[in-house]
Amino acid sequence: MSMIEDLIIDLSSEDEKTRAFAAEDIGCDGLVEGIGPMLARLELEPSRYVREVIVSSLKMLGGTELVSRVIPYLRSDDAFVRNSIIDILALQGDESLEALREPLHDADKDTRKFVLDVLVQIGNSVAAALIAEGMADPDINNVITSVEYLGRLEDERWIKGINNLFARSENVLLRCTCLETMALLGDEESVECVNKRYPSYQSISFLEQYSFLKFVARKGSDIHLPLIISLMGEKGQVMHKEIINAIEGILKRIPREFLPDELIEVIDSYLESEIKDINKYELLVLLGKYRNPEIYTILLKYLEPCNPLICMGAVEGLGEFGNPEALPVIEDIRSVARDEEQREIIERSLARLESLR
Amino acid sequence: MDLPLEYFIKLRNLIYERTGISYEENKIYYVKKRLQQRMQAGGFVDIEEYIKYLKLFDGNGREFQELINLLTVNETYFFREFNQLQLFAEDCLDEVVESKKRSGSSTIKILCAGCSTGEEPYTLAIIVREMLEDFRRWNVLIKAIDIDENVLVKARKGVYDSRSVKDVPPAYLKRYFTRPEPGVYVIKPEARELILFEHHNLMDRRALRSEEGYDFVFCRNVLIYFDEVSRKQVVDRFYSLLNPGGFIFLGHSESLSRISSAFKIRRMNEHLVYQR
Repeated sequence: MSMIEDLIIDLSSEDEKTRAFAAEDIGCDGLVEGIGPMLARLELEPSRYVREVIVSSLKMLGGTELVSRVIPYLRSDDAFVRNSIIDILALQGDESLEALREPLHDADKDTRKFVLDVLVQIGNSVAAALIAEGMADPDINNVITSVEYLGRLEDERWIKGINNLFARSENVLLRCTCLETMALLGDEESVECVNKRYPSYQSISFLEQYSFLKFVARKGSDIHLPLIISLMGEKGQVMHKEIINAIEGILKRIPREFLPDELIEVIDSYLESEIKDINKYELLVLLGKYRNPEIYTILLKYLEPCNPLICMGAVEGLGEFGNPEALPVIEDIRSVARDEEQREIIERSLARLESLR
Repeated sequence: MDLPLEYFIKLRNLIYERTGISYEENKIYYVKKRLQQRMQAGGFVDIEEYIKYLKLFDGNGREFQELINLLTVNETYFFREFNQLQLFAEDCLDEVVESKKRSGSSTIKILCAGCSTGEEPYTLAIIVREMLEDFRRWNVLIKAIDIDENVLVKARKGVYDSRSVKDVPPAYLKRYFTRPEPGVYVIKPEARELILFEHHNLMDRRALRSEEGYDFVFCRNVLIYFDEVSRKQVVDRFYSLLNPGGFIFLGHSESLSRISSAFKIRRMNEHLVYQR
């Protein structure tokens, strides 16, 4: 009996380790004759460990034979098998692409979705072009998935189609996904589409607010600031991350020396609210970049060594702000700082302020 | 360099997806500092551009690996990641000992994979000696393996400097080390006798097949140096050599969630542990 025949027999052994080692040997020794028996075993195998080994071995085998043999298993009822097949096909990269064209238009919508899952993992431009075909899928969930995946791949070639979907869709979830993808890939036309659909704050439904803020963070401008400020007042405690990102995004894209007064006001009250420390840190560092005189007083308020993260933000912000009057206060903080990273930020800020004295 | 939280989270998610290593938000500065070094080395100015490069254009994963190396560079020293060792000492070891007593077995086996210069296996030897009541009735084996012959030579010698032993509790320092000269610490036979150092390549599938009956596998901050497929194979090998109910310990920021679903996850004393 040949080695592969022995190994195939061992795949059905009663001993768990024997089955696992047989699968491992088939993979490591590149015995493609073992692909079919391993796939058959995968669906029956009771041991999670052996299943994992079989999948690892299949991944090692590779090649066109593997691809053609595993594709039918995308229809498996077993989620472990299905997900493993997605990973295996993804790992084959270009080898899988040609074979995936047909199941991308399968009658079963779930199979089409799994093909999209493989394609996004392959992630090259051919895969992106196939994903773009999914924007015309009869199933709305697959359309949403396609738009999301194109965003994930940051492939700008399909932005026109996405702008169109956004402009004409009445499906809120699809619009949210389009917004988030347009945030990544959007062009001038995307901004126009968004401004047209949402002429006022009230026209943005609750579900769309998160996605809208994500879009504004990447593509927004000063005209969106009043809207963000109203959102801060109304939804500030639940959407603080998105709001801060939106503010940061606009300020980063449109450089300036001074922040609008109303923005400083809301940031100040934001800092006093219950938002997370990491967001306070972020806001303090951000404030330090602007020259409004009241920023100095705000930063000083947060030089409390009892909260290292917030204190680090204030020290970093003060260093950036560049008022040497802060030197003695930061030196006081240095004398009590124990954290290595905190000390490093303190030294850096002190050095910067010294140089400005 | 600016590292807005949004990008920190993106990068953190990418690192987690690919390596299972997770960084809490309060590590933003730690990550930022190392990220800056990599961006400078690669001539990147913008963080967005750098993340895009890692995601889409770093075909062979070289840059990603460089970043990971920088983020994970850690000195090895005794009693490193103390909380995890405490969990091992006070909870997991106890559970295994109780089960052994019930089954009449008196052997405890620990595999220390990627043992480097020996600090971890010696730490485990000290802990086991300290924690096991009636230690002499137990047959304890700590097999410490590494692919690098040079580090094994150092490990077998068991000679360390004061930095390596900085976290050793003073009582243990006295009990388990001699000090032939100032600043030099030599491990005593009491800890040494439990350990067997061996040269092994974790990727050699046949080498570990004869190993079995282990109660614990320690493989901390090692898997990050393997690619996805190899990482999974190594973890499957650990599974096969563990006893049912045996524990595997990875580095505190590493996770098995993306590697294997064969292990059970348990919460013990606010920590997550993986168990066969």
